[in-house]
This record gives sequence, structure tokens and C-alpha cells, in this order.
Amino acid sequence: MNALTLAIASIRSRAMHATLCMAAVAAGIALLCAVFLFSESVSSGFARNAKGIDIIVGTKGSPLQLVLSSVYHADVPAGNIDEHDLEHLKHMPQIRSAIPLALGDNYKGFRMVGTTPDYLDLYKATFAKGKVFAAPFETVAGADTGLSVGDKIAVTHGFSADGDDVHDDHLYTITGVLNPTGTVLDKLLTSRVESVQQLHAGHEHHHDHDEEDEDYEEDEVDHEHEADRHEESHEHDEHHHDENGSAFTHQITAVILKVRSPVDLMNLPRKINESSELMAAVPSYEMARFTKSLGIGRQLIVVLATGFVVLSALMLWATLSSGLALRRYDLAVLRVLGASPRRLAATVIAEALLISGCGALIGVVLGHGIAYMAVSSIEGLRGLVLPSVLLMPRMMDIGFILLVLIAGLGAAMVPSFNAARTDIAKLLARGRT
Amino acid sequence: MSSVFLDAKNIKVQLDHSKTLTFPDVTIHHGDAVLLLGRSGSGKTTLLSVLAGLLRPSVGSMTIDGQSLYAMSSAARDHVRGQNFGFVFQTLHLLPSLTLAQNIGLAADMAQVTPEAGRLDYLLETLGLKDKAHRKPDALSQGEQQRAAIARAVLLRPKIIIADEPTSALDDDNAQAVMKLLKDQAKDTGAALLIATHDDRIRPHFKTIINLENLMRDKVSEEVA
Repeated sequence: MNALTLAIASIRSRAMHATLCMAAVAAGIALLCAVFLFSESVSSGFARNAKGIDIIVGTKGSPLQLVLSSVYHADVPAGNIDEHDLEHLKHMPQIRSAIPLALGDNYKGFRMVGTTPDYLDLYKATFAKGKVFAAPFETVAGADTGLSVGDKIAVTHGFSADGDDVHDDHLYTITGVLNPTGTVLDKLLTSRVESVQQLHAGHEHHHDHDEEDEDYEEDEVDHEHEADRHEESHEHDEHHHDENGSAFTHQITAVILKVRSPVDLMNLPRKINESSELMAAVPSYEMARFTKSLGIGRQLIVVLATGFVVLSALMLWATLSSGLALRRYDLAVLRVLGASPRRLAATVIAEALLISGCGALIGVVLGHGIAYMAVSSIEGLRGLVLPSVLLMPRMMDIGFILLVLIAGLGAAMVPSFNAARTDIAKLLARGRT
Repeated sequence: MSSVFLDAKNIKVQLDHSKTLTFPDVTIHHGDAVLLLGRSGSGKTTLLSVLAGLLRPSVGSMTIDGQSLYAMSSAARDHVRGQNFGFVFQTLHLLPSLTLAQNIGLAADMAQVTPEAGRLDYLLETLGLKDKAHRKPDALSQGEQQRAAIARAVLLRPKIIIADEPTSALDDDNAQAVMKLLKDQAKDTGAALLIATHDDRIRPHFKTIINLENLMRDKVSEEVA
């Protein structure tokens, strides 16, 4: 019977104390692990989705809103810009490439993005089936959309899945389905910019009450009602529509830019912001600022969780000490039977390591589960973070377990020292108390 | 006469600044049976601790098979104790979380010695504990626990069995039964037997009695067994 077996026997004899200690350790580590996993996954999700995007250009407003709406597709855009701006940007010497984005519709919550095939290349997308869009109203579906090649879909105006303003006069045809990329692309539908523009131009014509539209046979009252409803929807989406339908055919929402050098990355946004009606934002800067502001909450949770771990180490110390007080006569008997002081100390240390190690292991598993559930339940994070990745073991887990083992070892130091220097003669002389 | 196993001379133990216990010399030969008699607080357990290498005396010499016990390192003393001494306490100190067999085997585990093959089974059989081997101490009677404690003491065939107040809490019949068991096991293993007690009922079992009341060594004329 070695120190480990004796430690297990000791734990079993005081199962309630040991369980409470383990629970405290597990709670602290679960919180720490979940916070770190969540934060790391969101950060890496932000980075992964913005990879290859140096600058995003859109209409003037909030740079963070521009980044969230046009890079991460997690917010609504503030408005549109003119397609001529795209041509202007393309001809700037600092710019290596410019990819247009035209937003405004969704299919069951999956956003339709009018763009070019370069957008797919940005995420290194490959086709599971089919081919890239070529003609207007051909579309490529992301891996999570559940669509198949040949499907015909009618998109809904705006970004809300439950919107009732369906563009059923023009159906999109799925020409290709992408393999999963682990990016927001998995939840997007992509088509040519002209598809989105044409659809919205038509949409604006409805707003202008185009009486000559043969398919539109509702009476005047219904027209007014419909128009009002559309306006409300537009306001809700903060989606700017030009009053002139034909002008809308030359609008896009944003442009993704890749610059030629780091110096351009520093200077170009300022230049664009100062010299035009456009706004340029650098996703990496904006997200760094965003995560920094979120960091205060994260730090608070980390402090709380660290407090839990320290508290559990103190609990462990108290448990080991009280356990030692209860069984000091038993330890004396072990010494009488020939156990060395070092062996008694090893038994106490093994007990501490077992309790803290099991607690840490449970905590890490719980932490992964909590992070998984948190990410799965927050709709805005879908596409940004891959929940299944949160269930995979990380190097960080070993760090947490080691941290707790060190804390457990620290908690065991004094009790193990006391066990080793048990005054056997005095204890035996006094008898069991 | 057999050779000397344990020899303690001029042992004094300072308990605090004002109190020093002076003990009579103790010489125990292989196979001897010695009674250490004295009331509570007379220093019996303190002397047992010195003889077992658990308490370094302030003054005096102590040898085991001719080797000075307190000249050894602490680890060596632990080793000698584990291999040569078997202990039985008044409070039996069976670990509650271990089975009976594990408790008995603890003697070998702590001394880091492998008991001879079949020894544990033999003891369980001999002491009527075979069908209780996998039970926890709580599920056993006082008598069964007492036998288990004795089995633990003799598992490694020690050269001396030391028992501290083994019968004090027992009625007459059980006290005699335990004494018989201890003597039988000592005889079976060829071990010396040293019992510290204030229980006069077991005096007749010994011809060598060290009386700590008068701090003198009495020797009765014949052994009454």
C-alpha cells in the first residue's frame, strides 16, 4: 500500500469534506477556463474572420458598426456608398485589391452578400459541390445554410429572419455549396453585386408605387400600407435607401481593401476619412478597442475565479489540517509500524494533489462545457466562433491543472510538515483523544 | 539461555525542565516474556517509546541485537522498528477506511517488506478472521478487531511483540483470551513479548516483571502460564 492508496483511503473516510473541496476547486477552474476559452475563441474568431482584410470602407458613421456589419455580419450597416467610390478606390496606388459588398437581404437569417468571387478567395473557400456564381441571381451557399445546388430561394428584405418583405419576384438559384471554412462565410449566401442592386432597385420602384408593374395589382390603399411597412423595415435596419430607384442600382454597402504596405495601412484610412464622404476603418484596430472595452468585465470574472481558486486552496488547507488533527493517532500508528516521516508527508501531499487534481479536471471539463453552451446560445457569435472547437482539449487546460496542483501542493505544505514531525511518543502516551 | 535481543541501560527521559523520569534497566532475550507494570502516568508508554526507537532518551544506551538504536539514522531506526517490532495498542487503531486484510497488510507496507507467502491467509485462518477479511473495521466486533490488531503485529514475524495496555478495557474472559492469543503468537513466531499495563490480572502470565511503581525490577520465582 503506497502513499496514493493511503491518500485515497483517507479521502474516502472523509468523503464529504473532500467533495466540497473538489467542488470549490472545480467551480473556480470552470469559471477561469470558460472565461479564457470564451475570450480566446472570440478574439481568434475576430482575427480569423478579418484575416486578409486590411481596411473596410463604408458610409460615414460608427467605425465599429461598419466593421461588425460588413466584416463579421453581426450588425446592420449604417448606409450605402456609391459604386463610383469603388472605382475611385481601385485606382488608388496604395490599394492592392478592392472587393465590393452589397448587403440588404437574408434567407432564413443567412445574409445575402453581393460581391465578387474574390470574396470567397479571401476565406480560402473551396466548393463541396457546384461552382461559383456567374450570372445575376446565381448564388453560392455557405456550409451551414443547409442549401443544395439547384435550390431556388426567395430572399427577405433586411437582416431579420422573420421579416415578411419577401423578394419573391426574383428567385436566386444555388450554383455551388462551400466546404466549411470556420468563418462567417459558412453562414452567408454570396452572389454578384448586380443581383442585390437589381433586387433593391425593383424594391425601390415598388416604394415609388410603380403603377405599371403588371404583377402588382393591389389597390391604392394597400400600396400605401405596404410602402409604410417597408419604410418601417428600412428604419429598423438603418439601411439607407436612396429615394431614386435607379440610383440604387449603383450603390454598394462597403468595400474590403487590401493595401500594398504597412505604411499604407497606417496612412490610407486617415486620408480616406479626411478627403471624402467615405469612412475607412481598420478591423484589427476596431476589434482591439472593442475587446479592450469588454476586457474590464473579463478581468472582473478572472479576479472572481482566481478568488475561487485561492479560496478552494485555503479550504483544502483547512480540510487537510482538520483531517490531520482527526487522524494524527492513526499517523502515529503508521510511524510505529515503520513508516518514515517522509512517507507520512507524502501521504498528505498525495491527498492534496488528488483532491485538487480531480477538482481541476472536473473544472476544466465543466469550463469547456460552459464556454460551449455560452457560445452556442449567443446568436451574434455564430459564425465568429466555432462552438465545437471549444470542446477540444487545449494546452491551456494543462496550465490550469498545473496551477491548481501547485496551489494544492502549497496548501499541503504545512499539514504535511506537521504530519512528518508528529510526536509519536507523546501521542501514544496520551492515547487517542 | 538465548542471546540478548534488547538492552536498555541507565535510561532517563526529561519530560520538561523540572521532571525527569529515570527507568530501570531492561534486558530482554529472544523469546522472553516481560511485563512492564505500573499505573497510569507511571511512564510505561514513555519507556515503550524509548525501547521502540520512537523517543530518544536524554541519557542512557539502548541496543537491539547489539546495535545501538539511537546511533542509527532516523530512517534506519524506522526500518529496524518496522522489521523487528510488532505493536498492539489498547485502542486498536485499525484504519476505518481500509478492509481488515488491508489493515493487517499495513504492517508490511509501512515497513516496505513483503510478508512470506501465505502468511496473511494463515493468520486470517488461525485467528478466525478469514470470512471477515474484506470487511471494514466498523463491521467487526471488538474481539475481531483485537485479533486483527494482533495479526497486524505478528505479520512480519517480529522479534518482539510490544503491547500497550492490551487488556485494560476487557472483561476477565476476554483479557485472558487476548493474553493467550498474544502468548501463542509470540511462541509461534519465536518473538519476545513485552506488555506494558496496569492490569494486575495478567501478572500470573509472566515471570519477569518490571515494576515501574517502585522503579525496581522484580523477578518472580516461576512462570504461571
